[in-house]
Amino acid sequence: MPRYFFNVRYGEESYRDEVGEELPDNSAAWHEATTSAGQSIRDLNGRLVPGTAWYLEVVCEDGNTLYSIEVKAHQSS
Amino acid sequence: MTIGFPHSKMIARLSAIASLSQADAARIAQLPIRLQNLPTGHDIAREGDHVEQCCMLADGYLMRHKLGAEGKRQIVSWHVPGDIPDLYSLHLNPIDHNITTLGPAVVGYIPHDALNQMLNASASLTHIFWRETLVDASIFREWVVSLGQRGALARIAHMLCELLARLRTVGLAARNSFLFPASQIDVADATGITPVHANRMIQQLRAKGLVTWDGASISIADPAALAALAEFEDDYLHHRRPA
Repeated sequence: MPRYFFNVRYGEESYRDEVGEELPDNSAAWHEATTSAGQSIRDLNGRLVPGTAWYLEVVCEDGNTLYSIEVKAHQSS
Repeated sequence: MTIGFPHSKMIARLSAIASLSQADAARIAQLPIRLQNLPTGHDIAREGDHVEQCCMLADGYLMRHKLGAEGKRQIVSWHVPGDIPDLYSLHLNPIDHNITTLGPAVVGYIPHDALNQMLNASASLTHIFWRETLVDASIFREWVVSLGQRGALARIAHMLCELLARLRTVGLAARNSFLFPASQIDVADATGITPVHANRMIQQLRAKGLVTWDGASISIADPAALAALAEFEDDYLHHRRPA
């Protein structure tokens, strides 16, 4: 099974996945990415600040980015 | 009197939560326990099984788990040596969840008849086993709080604090280190998060210098800091305080 790496960036908190996870295919990686994104944002526990953005990217073994999820926070003035 | 290896684990485990008289310890020492070595991932009981014996863990780990929507597994408890995870089956039979080995394990099977005879002969032992099932329920309540209220990092930290506290009662956490052959997927299924998220949280615990986690070998570098992060208070385990 191919290995996928899930990197997260938010402000100062950046996490480069060195271990990765073996998953059957790209669609399983996307599923994992969306579920993990939901859980990660929950874990921010109210610390997502307007004017910032939270990123998750799924990188293949060849180093290419397969998917990315970006959550941008805005305050309408 | 020489006390067998599985019996002594059971006595140590029960002594952690209640004062065990010599007479009751002797009753436990006489229980017929049939030891068996089991491989990783062996199902001791499956949901719906009718059983006629209880299973005491003598070495290794067991987990209780249930399958939810789309066949997704939720691990609902870990078990350390001395535990009898299917003690309920004395009264609740068939079993309503699965019990599986996490890594290789040694278990001791005790016939229901022998347990019932022993408990019928000793009201104090019956109370101790009752207390044991109440402590089990307390551990479940804490698990619910974790899943409902703690963030992923605190969930994993709490799980590690609890394992450490429970392993200590049976002398298996020397220098705050222990073997725990759980995969990333096992940890994820116990804490209700994805393996990707579990992996990230474990990396964070490492980066904070709180734990070293190398394959199956876990060492808690700073138990107090880990407990603070997890908001872990061991009261719910109802361990007896040293006199």
